[in-house]
Amino acid sequence: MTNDFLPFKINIRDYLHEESLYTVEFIPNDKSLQTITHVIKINPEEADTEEKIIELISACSPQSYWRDQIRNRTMDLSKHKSMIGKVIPVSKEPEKSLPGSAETVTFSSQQADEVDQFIQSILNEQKTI
Amino acid sequence: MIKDNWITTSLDKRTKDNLNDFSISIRPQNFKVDTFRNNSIRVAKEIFESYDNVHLLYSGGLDSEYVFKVFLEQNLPIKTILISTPFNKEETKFAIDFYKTHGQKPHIITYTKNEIIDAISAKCMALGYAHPIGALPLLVSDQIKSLGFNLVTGLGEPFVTGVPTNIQEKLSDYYNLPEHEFYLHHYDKSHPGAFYTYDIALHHSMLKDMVHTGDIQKDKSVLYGLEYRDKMRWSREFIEITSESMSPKLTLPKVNVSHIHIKKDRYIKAIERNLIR
Repeated sequence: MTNDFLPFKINIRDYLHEESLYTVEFIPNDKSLQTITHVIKINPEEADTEEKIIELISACSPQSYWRDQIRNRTMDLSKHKSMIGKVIPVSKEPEKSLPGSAETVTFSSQQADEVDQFIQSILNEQKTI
Repeated sequence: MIKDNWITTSLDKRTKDNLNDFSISIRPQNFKVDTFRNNSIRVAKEIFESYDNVHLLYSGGLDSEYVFKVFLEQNLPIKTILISTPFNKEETKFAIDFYKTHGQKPHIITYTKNEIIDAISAKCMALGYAHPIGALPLLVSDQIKSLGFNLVTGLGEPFVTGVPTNIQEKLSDYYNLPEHEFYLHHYDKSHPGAFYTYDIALHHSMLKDMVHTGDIQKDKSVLYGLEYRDKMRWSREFIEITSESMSPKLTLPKVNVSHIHIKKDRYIKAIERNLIR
């Protein structure tokens, strides 16, 4: 898979001078996929220009992780050919999320409408005070 | 506040010129070693006695929930502030679980999508702060000023960097202290502020008592005695929109060093210089 297949934005969040460590966010253009944060060590002697650094950082992009995410979401569909033509919501997330990724899925016993109800009831009380 | 200014930062310099790296300095302090649990109780009591109208900024995450729990267990009737926006609903679910379980009610501050983006972006750009979520306590601080509330947060904990790279093992030897943990202290020292840096003894006991397994959420849940939950971040939409205008450009002279990575043993040694055994 080349970078052209899944373009991404690069955002350097942090740089540790003495260790030449870059904390880099790879932000895929496909917004249903997770941003991946990597720490990348670059030898200053190998990277004397900005272009070279960008090239080295780009080479570390986590394409295989995104590929797995796409695969996880499409696997069930391929098993059920009878469903072809029907609209199926894509909701399956990778079972294990990477530490440092931008979005994780966690479940609470509260439903979204319960959250709104709770907040609204408190706001109503605040207004009456 | 940070008691006795035991830890100071370069945020003054950095907000004037973003090319200055973020740095911290630790001043030697006399302190006695105690457990994280005992120190947490001591600090909670001290904050409650020292400040009027103490309010905790509670998100539903592990760090602020532990602070909430310590106050409640000591029968210190702390009040809480919950921020409601379209971007943090997942985390809010956990907060509401906790409120319902413990029969508590928050003071809620609501923001629409545009309100929170505009407010955070303006605050960050005015102060030269790089971290959008880190500016949240500052907005709250502004809002509660007229109400006479004093704010404590679940910030101030150093965490072990855990990133999926081939150098993970080496990074696990480091603590990571991001600058945004110190924003409120820099912005308005009148609040008790970050609980976990409130004094050197509490901070030290946190470092010593946390067992690191590589999963910081798990490690925290064990230390805090709370149910495990994933790290919840605000939605990507929020981060993207706010970061777009504030992110450092991808040019070397403007690389924004906003975290301290410091070797665990070096950091602990600096803190332990005046320790009383």
